[in-house]
Amino acid sequence: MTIQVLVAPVVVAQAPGETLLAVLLYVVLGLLVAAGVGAAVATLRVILPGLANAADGALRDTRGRRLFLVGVLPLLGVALLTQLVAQTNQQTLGTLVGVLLLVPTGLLIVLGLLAALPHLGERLLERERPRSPLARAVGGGVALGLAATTMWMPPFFALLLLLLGGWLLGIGLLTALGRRSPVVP
Amino acid sequence: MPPAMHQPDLPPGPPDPYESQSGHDDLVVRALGLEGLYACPPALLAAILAEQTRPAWSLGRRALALAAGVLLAVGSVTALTGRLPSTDTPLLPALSAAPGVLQRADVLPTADLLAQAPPIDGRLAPFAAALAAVLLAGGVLLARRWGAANHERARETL
Repeated sequence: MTIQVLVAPVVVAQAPGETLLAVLLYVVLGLLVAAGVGAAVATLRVILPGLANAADGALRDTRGRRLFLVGVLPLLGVALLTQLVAQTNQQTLGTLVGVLLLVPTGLLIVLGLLAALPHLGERLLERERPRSPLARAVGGGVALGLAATTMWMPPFFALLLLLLGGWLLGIGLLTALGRRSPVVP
Repeated sequence: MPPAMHQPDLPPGPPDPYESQSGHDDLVVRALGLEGLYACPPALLAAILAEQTRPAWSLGRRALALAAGVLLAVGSVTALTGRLPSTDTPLLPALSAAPGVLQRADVLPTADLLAQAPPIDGRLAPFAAALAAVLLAGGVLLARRWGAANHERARETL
């Protein structure tokens, strides 16, 4: 396996310096956006405390493997279905799948983010002194943003995207569907 | 004849939550209770029915909440951009006003990575669709099962 398989070749056009500058600017902008997402999550947690507590509960009470399994299975299903629909080139079908499948999946991932970002911030930033909810969420967002720079290492990024997406979707699904349901024997 | 029926001054039993709504004679209800039999007042029947149909109501309420969320998301994007959301809608509209160096999408390899996904053979498409449906349904069923177990555990802890 050559290094070119592991690391995506940055397209070198006429001006290599310009390409490097663009990459750096994208990274800086991406980190700012990631911190902004963290702040937005902290704000949403204040606006929707019930939903945030439910998401926290789903994350706290579910074992890691179950979270991954609950999220990764539908994520693969959605990806497969999206690929199939994209191949058919039918506008109506695409809109239908987008509204019925992609938007709910996105919302569930946002629901998962409500619990996941502060959890990441807490686990990664805190040692002895507890941090504020905003610092936790922004810290988690920045950690995720830094993790996203692996997009220049496609195989690792694909794995990370699958596991992270599955984790977030798992939290969202367990929050949305898991509460107050009867126990299935 | 049980001895309880011969006692004129029956000691008061535990409070019956449905007593006031039962519409039955109190003495009869208590005598039946001593025999291990209970009348089935309408309130109790309603409670049993509500308990049994709660999962269906709960699922319907969640589906409604999700539909409202979808409407809100699509509506807000439409209101912001002035058109229905599509893949052409830029993720960061402010980027179009950024310097040219930031508008070079070719430095982000993610789009290439996704575009390199192999197309699914037409003959395999139905099987792939069935597999996708199974994966989706499996995830949803597992979420309901394990989520309910979480809730039950939390209730027992309380």
